[in-house]
Amino acid sequence: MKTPVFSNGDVDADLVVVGAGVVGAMIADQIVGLGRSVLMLDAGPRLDRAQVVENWRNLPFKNRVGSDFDGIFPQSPHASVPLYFPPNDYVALSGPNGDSYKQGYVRAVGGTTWHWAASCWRHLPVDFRMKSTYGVGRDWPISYDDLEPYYCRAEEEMGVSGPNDPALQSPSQRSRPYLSDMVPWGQGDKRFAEVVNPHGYNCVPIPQGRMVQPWNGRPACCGNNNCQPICPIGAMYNGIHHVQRAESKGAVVLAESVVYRIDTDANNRVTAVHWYDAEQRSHKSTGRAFVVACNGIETPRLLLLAANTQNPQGIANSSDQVGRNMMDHSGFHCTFLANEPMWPGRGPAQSSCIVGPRDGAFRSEYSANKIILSNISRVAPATQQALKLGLVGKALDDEIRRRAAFGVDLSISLEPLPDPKNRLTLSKTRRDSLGLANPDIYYELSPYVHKGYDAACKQLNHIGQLFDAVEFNITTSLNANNHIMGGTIMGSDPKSSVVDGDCLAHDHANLWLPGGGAIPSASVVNSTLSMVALGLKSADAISRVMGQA
Amino acid sequence: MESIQPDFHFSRRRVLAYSLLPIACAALGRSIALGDARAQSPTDRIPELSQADSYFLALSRAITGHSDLNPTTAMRLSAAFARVQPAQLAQLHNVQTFMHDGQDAAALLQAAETAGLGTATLALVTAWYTGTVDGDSKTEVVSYTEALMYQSVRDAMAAPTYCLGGPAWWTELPPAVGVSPPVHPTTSAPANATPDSKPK
Repeated sequence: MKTPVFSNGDVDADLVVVGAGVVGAMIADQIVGLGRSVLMLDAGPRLDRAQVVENWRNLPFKNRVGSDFDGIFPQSPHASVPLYFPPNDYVALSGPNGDSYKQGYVRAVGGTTWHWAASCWRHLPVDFRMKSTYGVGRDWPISYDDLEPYYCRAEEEMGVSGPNDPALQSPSQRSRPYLSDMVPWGQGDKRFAEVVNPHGYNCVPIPQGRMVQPWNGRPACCGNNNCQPICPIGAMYNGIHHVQRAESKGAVVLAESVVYRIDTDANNRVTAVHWYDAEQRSHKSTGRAFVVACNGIETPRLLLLAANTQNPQGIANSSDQVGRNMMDHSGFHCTFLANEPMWPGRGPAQSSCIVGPRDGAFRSEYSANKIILSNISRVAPATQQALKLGLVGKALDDEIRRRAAFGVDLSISLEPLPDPKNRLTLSKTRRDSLGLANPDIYYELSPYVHKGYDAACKQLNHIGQLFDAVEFNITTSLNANNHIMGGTIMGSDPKSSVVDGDCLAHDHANLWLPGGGAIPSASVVNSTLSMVALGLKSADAISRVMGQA
Repeated sequence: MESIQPDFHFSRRRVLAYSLLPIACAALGRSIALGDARAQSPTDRIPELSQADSYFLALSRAITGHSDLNPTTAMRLSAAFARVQPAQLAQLHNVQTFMHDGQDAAALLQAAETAGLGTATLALVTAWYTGTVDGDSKTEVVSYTEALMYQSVRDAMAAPTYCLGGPAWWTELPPAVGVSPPVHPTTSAPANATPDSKPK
């Protein structure tokens, strides 16, 4: 077991990973498994799952019903995140759709998979060829076939359950089956699919990073229905699982270590990163290979912060594309009361999804969509609504039960196109507690997304009719989905992109930038599995380079 | 790699056992179910209530229609009102005037509303159902699983973070809904439902 070498507070390792989230931890685990020394630096603290669960239970009702998912995670004073209860304006948003880019993420060891829902979707093969197929967006420099083996490995590393019936897969192009068949549906998922599928909506099981049997040291999911903001029992996959796996093989994680500077040599290879510890003392880590995987906002922010004499626009930024093309799936919701009890809240937070509108010739004109049948308990919003009616006694109990049982919440995602003007820059006036510039983001949605919204509304209206919907409502403002993509965009041309098909920075022969930032086309599906697949592809590239050394 | 297939045989039996438990408790009555729960916690013994807290508990039981409310939780809610909503707590004391035997919750609310005490009375209801006392500048959380909102569906699901059974318990059929389905208001229909405006 080879471990990093410490000397006077500085460290040397074969691989230095900045960001101990799902992507960084996965790569660390791969490389340390090859007998290389690996150091992981994370800006945030270690978390205690039980404490976070207690923080959630102790949160006021209005915060819980309002999805205040960020405030319950203990934070380092030197690693801010966006907070909204009340807003802390860590990220200053501007542009006509700045309000649609209110991202949430966790800066802590293990990263934002502490509070995801564990949906593990693949992009469709055509998603990799948006420009050549539909004349919009960008093509990836790699194909679905190139990434497919890594999708398999990502699913196997994360213990994903998914439908092994090809008719229920999206996409069905797979070289290996899932380790475990789909998480079984409850009655609500079954009935929803039975009602909508005869009309071509294609409601299918969501591949999920959990199993209904113990697996690899992880307990079986018993449907605590609290995937977001925190799985109380650790049945849901979380980046902390690979952090711990990497540590067991000799990797070292330093929490509350905020990287702020990156050194490069005459050949523009990265030679070291510098970080502040919790007492604001600066340290340096040298290494042979470097990975920056701090999520779609913090990675471009760091690259811009770390501008040096040789890279005056920022690290990896000779193309001026770092921080541009910021994307996220624009989201909105459709709620109604159905004509039969659906009982959301029994089982994991989401299990089924309409994927019929994921693809089609229309994508040359407007956005695809996916429609998730939320399985998050409706008891809290039902109570909020019933209390507003001024009911008491049995009438109140019955109204809560009615709304909780018959309530439906559909969560719709739209696909943005990469647009260089949607840009993260460094604030000229706002600084964090370490004096590092906060991020500013300009965000403007194109007609492509707005037209996709209109098309989705027609589908939702039809679905509402199928359920003889009462109190049918579609939200009109678009919300963020925390699927942050595009800021270190992948491409074959170093003049118009930041990384290549291995997420290797065009400008630096030993710096990899895997994760959401690299993704050049958003599709409409959650980005985590694609991020992990890209991370594993980077890990293979790193191991090849190390093998040559 | 070898495929892992779940064995539902065992879990189904276990789920059945779990699913019968609340039914059995319900058959024995709510007070027994809650009494069992209290017995599990030595710190949750039935307390000696002050006169004010006894009144607070009596009013709470009358306005919620739940005759089995936990006295300890009532004391904690009363104390929370005293800290974050003292004016409302004083108003609740005055609702006492309108309580009488055989009165249902709606009649008590109506009497309180007529006397200008409706807001405070509904704040008490909200506190019991959400477990939270909201003040103008402060908020206190008093209960989580005991919040009455979860009681109304406890045969179908546990409060989030807890589970109702073992792995895949949710594949069992849900309980009978036991309430009437939602009805359309007289004027609207989903066929006409459209968003108010385009997304901003």
